Amino acid sequence: MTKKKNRNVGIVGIGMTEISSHKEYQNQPEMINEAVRAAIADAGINLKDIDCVVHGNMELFEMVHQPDLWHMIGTGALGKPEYRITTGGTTGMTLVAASDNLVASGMYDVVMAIGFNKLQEAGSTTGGITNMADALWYRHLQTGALTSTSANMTIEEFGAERARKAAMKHRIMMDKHAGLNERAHRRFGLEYEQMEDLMKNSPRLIGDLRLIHMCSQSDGACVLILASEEKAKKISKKPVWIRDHIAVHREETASNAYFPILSENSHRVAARKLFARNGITNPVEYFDVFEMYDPSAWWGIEWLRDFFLLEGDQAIKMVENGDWDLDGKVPVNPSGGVTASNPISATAMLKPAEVALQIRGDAGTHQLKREVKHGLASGFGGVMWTELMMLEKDLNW
Amino acid sequence: MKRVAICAVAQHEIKAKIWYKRFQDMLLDILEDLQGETGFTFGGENGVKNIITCSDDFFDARTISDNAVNDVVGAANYRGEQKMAQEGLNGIGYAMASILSGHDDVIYFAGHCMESLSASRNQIANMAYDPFYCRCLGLDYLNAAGLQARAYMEKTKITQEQLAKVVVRARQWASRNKYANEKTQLNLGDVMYSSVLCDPIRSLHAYPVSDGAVAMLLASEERAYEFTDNPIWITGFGNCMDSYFMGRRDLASSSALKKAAEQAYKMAGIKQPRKSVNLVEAMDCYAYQQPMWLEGLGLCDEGKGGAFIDEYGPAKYSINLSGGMLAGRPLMIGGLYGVAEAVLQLKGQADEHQAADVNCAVIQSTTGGAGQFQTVVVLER
Amino acid sequence: MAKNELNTQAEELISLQVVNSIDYSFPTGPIMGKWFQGLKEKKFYATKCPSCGRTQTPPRGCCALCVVRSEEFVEVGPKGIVENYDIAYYASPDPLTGKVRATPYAAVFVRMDGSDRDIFTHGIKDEDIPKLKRGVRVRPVWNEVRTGSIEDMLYFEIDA
Repeated sequence: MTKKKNRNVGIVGIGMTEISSHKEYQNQPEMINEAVRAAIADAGINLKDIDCVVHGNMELFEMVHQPDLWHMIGTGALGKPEYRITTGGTTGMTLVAASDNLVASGMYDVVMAIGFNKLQEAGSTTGGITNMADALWYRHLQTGALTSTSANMTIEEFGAERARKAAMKHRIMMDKHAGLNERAHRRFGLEYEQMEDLMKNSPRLIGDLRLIHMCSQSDGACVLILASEEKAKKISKKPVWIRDHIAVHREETASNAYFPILSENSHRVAARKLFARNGITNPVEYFDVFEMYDPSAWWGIEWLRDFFLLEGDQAIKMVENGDWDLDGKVPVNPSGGVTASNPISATAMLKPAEVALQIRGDAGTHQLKREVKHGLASGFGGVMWTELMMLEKDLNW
Repeated sequence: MKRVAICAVAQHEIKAKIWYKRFQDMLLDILEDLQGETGFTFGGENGVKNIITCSDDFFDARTISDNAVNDVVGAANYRGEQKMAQEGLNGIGYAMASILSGHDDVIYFAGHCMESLSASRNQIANMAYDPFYCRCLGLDYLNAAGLQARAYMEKTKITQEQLAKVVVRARQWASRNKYANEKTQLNLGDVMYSSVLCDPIRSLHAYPVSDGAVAMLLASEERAYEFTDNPIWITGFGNCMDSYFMGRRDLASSSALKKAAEQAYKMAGIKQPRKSVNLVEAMDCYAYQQPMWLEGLGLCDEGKGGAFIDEYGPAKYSINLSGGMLAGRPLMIGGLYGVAEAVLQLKGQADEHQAADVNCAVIQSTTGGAGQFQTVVVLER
Repeated sequence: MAKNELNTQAEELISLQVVNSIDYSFPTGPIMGKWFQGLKEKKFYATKCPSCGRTQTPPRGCCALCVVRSEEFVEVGPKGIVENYDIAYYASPDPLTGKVRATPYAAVFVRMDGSDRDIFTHGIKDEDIPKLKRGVRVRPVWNEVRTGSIEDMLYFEIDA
C-alpha cells in the first residue's frame, strides 16, 4: 500500500564544519554553531525563519546528558520548538528523515536538523561503542564496531586474493575521492600501486580488517535545513527534494545480526522495500550517485551488493571494473565516504548532505561531471540498522 | 488537517526499585497488555512498521539505549524505530508528525526509565551541565529546582502550607491509582516539617526515585477504529526551549511553557483554556512546580499559585488525579505517564480516580533543569 | 590571533581532563537470572519461541522475530560449531575499567548444538587461535569458581 506524502519537502540549506580530530579550539556548542551559521547562510535565510530544531547524537560519547539543553546556545533553539531523536549510528540520517516527517506533516514549515560529534572528548570511540553492549554479558566481548566477520564471509565466497584485492581497491578508491574533497578528514594520497603493500603491511585490527580499511574517529558538525515545497521554492533556486526514506532494524547483538543464518541483510531489505514502493526496478541504472555509510572497506564491498539488489559476484565485478568510480555506472562516495570522515552522529547526515550538494552542483572540487538527478544515501548503525533515503533534483514522481 | 489518535495505553506499575525485572521485561508486559486490548500486530500489510521509543543512555548506562529494547518493541525484525531522547511527551508530537506526513499510519510508542539503576539520578543530571562551568559548580536538576523554587516563592509568596497541600493531595489521589508509586498518606505537618533536601525544597516536596514503563498505540484517523471504539484525538501539540543559563531566565515565570502551551492551544483551536480544559496532568517533580506549571498553562493567574491551591483550583481542573509526578514517576517518561492517565480519564476507564465529564485534557512535561524545555499536549475525545 | 597560537593557548587554558564515574547496579530479571544459574551448573539454557521455534542464547523474554513471550527453556550445547570468528589484534579499552586486553584474543560466534537460528558469542582459548576456522567444533571451558555470571565460562576451546 503506497501512502501519499502529505506535502513535499526540500533541502534548502547545507552547512558543515571542517572534519578533523583536532578541534580543541571549539567547544561543542561553538562547533555546532559554525555549522548552523553555514547552513543558514547557504539557505539565505535568518535564524528567525527556522520553525523547529531537530538535534541528535550519542550522548555517552561526549558524556553530556541531554546535550541539546546546553547546546541551545549554539543551535539557536531559544524560544523554538525542538525535538531530540537518537538512533545510534543512523542518527544523522534519522534526523533528516524525522525533519522530513515534521515538515511534510504540516506542523512546521522550516526545520533545521543538527548532527555532530566531538569524539575527541570521549577518549575512545570503540570504547564508547562497546558501551552499547549488554552490561551483563556482552560488554566484555564486544570490540566496538570492529569485526572481521564480513571479511571472513567475503573471503570464503570469492577466495582470499580476489576478496582482499577488491576490499583494498575500494579503500584506495575512497581515498582518491577524499583527496578531491577539501572537507574530508583523512586524505592519505593512496595509489593503486600500493595495494599489495597495504594488504600485507597495514596493521591488523581484527582478522582481515586492517587499520587502513577502517573508518576514522572524527569531530565535526553537519546541519541541513528542510522546508515545505512552497517555502523551499521561495527560499532556494535549487531545493533538493526528499522523495522517500525507510528505517529497517535488525537485532540486538552482532552475533545474530551479521549472520545470514536467517536473515537478509537489513540494507537489502531496506533497498528492496524502498525501491519497490517507488517503482525502481533497476537501481544501478536509476541512481546517479550513492553516498553510502561504509564504516569499513569490507562492509563497503559487501553492502554494495545488498543496496543495489545484486547477486553473486556482480558487485565485486563492478569494483574490479571501476563501475563504482566517479566516472563509473554509479559513483559511490564521491566525498570519500565514512572511511575518510566519521563524526559519527553527523556522519549519517553527511550522506544526504553530500548527495544534495551533488544534485545542486555545489560539491566543488569533488563535484561529479555527470548530471546528478537521482541520489541515494544510506545510514548504518548498531546493530545492523539501516536508514535509506532517496533524493531528487526535480519533483518528478 | 487530518487527525491522529491514541487508541489505547498500557502502564507498568511504578515502583521505587523494580529489582526483579529488567526494563525489557517491563516493556514485554505492557506490550502484551496493549496487544490484548487493541489486537495490533507487527509487520505484514496492516501491522505496525515503525516504532518510537523513549529512553536515555545515561539512565540505562548504555550507548544507544534503544538497542537493548528493539526486540521487545517489535523493531528487531526489519522494522523502523526512532528514540525520543527527551522526555517522552515529545514523542507524541513526533509520532503525530510521522502519521500526518503520510509516512506511517500506525505507530507503537513505548518508553521506559529506571531511575533506580544508577546510584544517583542527581549525578546523572549534573552531567547535563556544561563541563566547564555549571557542572563544576555542582548544578543538577534538584538544586536548579531549588533555585527556581526560591525565586517562585519570593515572587508569589506561596506558603509552606500551600505547598504541603499539593503533596498531601498528590498522595490522596495516588492511593486510588493502582499504577502509582508512593501511596503513603501524609498530613500537612509531615510535609511542612520534613527534612530540608535542597533549601527551600523539602524531602517530601520531591518526587520519589521511580522505575516504570508506558506504551501506547497511535493511529491515523482512517485506521484508529481498527484498534478501539474510543480513539482519543491529539488535537494540540507544542514544545519550546528556554535559555540554558539560569541567570538569563526569569526563573519565577516559565516563558517556554507559555509558548509551548500557546502552540498547543492554537493547534487545538482553544481560545479560552480555562473554559475548555477539564483535566490536567502536570509534571510536578517538586511541589512548587505544580502551581508554577499551571500558571504557565494559563489555568492560574500569573503569580497567584498559592491562592489557586487554597481555592481548590487543582480540584476544579482535575489536576494530577493519578498522583502526578509527585507520587513518583521516572524522569524520562513523567509526561508519558500523564498521557496514559489522561487517555484513561477521557475514555472513562480511570476506575477509582475517574473525574466526571472529561472531554479535554492537557498534559505538560519538562526536560532539563528548572523547566528549561517544556512540552504541552492537548487530548480530546 | 592565528589558529596555531589559539591552539597553544587553548591547550593551556581550556582542556579539562575529567574522569566521570557513576555507580550502577543492573537487575538480571528472571530470564537472564535462570541463564546465569545454568552457567553455574555448567549448562546453557536458551528460550524457545512458542511461535517459530527459534532459540535465543542468552535468552531474552521475547522472540525478536515474532515479538511473543518466550519463556520455555531448553538446554543447548554445551558444544557447538564456529560459524565465524574475530581475532583481535587491536584491543579497545574496556568501557568500565579502562583496561586493555593483551592481543591477540578472539571471539567466536558459535551455533550451539540443538539451537535453532541462533548464534552465541564468547571467547576462545588463546592457544586455539591458530587452529580457528569456520566449521570447527568447540566446547566450553568452565571456571572452577562459578558464581552465576558470564565469567563462569572462561572461553571455548576446540573440541578435538
